[in-house]
Amino acid sequence: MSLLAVRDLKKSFGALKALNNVNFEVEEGEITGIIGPNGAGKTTLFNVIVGIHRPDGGDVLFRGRSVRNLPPHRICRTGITKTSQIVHPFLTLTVKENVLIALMFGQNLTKKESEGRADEIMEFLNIADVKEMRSTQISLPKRRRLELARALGTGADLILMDENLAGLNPRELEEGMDIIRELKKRGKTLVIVEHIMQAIMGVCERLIVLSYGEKIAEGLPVAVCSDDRVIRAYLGEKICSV
Amino acid sequence: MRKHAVWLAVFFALLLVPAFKLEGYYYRTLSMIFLWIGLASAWNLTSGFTGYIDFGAVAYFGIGNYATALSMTKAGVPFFPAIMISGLLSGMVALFIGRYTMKLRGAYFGIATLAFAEAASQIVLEFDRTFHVTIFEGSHGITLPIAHDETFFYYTFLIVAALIVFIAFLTDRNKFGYALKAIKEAENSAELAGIDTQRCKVSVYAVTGVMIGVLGGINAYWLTYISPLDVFSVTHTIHMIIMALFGGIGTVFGPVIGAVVLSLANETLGARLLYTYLLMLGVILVVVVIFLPGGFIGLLSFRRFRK
Repeated sequence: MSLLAVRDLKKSFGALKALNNVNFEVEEGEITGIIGPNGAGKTTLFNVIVGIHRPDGGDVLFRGRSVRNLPPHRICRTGITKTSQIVHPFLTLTVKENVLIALMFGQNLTKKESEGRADEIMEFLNIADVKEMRSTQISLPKRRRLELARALGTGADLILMDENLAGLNPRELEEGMDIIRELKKRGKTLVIVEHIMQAIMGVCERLIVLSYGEKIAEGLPVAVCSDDRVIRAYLGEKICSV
Repeated sequence: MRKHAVWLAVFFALLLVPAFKLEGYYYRTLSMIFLWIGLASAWNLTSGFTGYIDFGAVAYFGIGNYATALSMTKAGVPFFPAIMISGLLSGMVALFIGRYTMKLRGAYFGIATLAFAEAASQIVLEFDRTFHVTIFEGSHGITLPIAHDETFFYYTFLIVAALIVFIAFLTDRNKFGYALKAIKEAENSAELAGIDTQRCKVSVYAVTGVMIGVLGGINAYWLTYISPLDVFSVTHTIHMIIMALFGGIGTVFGPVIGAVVLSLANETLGARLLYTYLLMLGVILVVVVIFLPGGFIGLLSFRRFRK
């Protein structure tokens, strides 16, 4: 049984079909990448999986059980959370408090139990130096880490990362990719939406390509990148050879 | 920590005030200030902490007033059980109203709660005439028995207000409080972090309802005469909002400071400068909102923000 199974997922906004019968599965411990042009439905797909949007049709199964129609906090406690492309930290709270909230509510811990784990997570993501700062005061790369720290805090097994690596310099990108590999070692399953092909090719074991709300390709990264349809819809040129 | 010790000292000092056998006027003024501390703090617990600005908080005040007045005059319930009934009833109504209104965001929540409070006022005003009964007594209002001296209300208001501030103080630090603040900052993120936002919002709204209801109950017995247009007046809600904003919305002691300063201003300036007072208040409020978004208390903790 796969960890996540998306079945015939449909979501429309008015006349726009953001998701049109999307099907795919994610195995436990795998890093899956989702690529596609802007407006392909990648973020919508994530929002439907975590419960922010209700699907119009189809189903989302997590460990074989449907999470469709559950509110986001229930889905989070079941084991799925996401990091947002546009970061929404709890602004006036400190970095540490942000992480504490995820621990306290995602895993239903007391404040005391959460303290030590929050420190551990911030240490791992290299944001411990700003833990007493308010989340308005830290740089964008750190805010992206904070987004990830919150996702880790919830204890979710499956983390959907929506462009968590966007806008980073090459060194930060390298660090980000290392963190993703480390998360896999720690047993997390990741689904990554990203435009930076270098990062996608560097960490993903499997790729799914969306275009206009439909899945147009799926498979090993190298195979997907040389697929003609993918090149026409998204890549524009051949970036790798088989 | 020292700052909190000051507040505790103020509370104990206030407990001793009646030993000086002051004139009735001072007790009445202080009682009024305690009432407003309680109301502003209770309002702030929902609206300040979660950011859902409630424009209909007076509904729970009115319900509290009428629940106590009716229980005491029609059913002969003693005062303390009567204010419990007020709290319970207001809390239950808040639970019901919150279930629906708390799904609305921003201005829509404000509009819905304002409409509810106005509707509640009209129901109490017109119920008897419409259904040919005598329950609420419409615009005649209800007169309650006079049985206690000013120190009785002084203590009742002081202890209830202190209790409300203490609950806000605890909430500011506990897990539930973090949920409320997370909702205020980014509601979707709060959901994604596993917070049952709807449940938290409705719960805190009900708690606020209980608090305001109890204060309303005491108010009815204190004033001995209530009428719908007085106790359901939208100006009460506006006062709660202004006091919290002035002192520092979303903080524990901001509404306390706001309530003290504005009640005193109302008492002294309001009587002397009847026409210009409200104008001045408006100007002061605009200045506070523009230059001190953290309220008066933001000035005191300025260092913390600058770090």
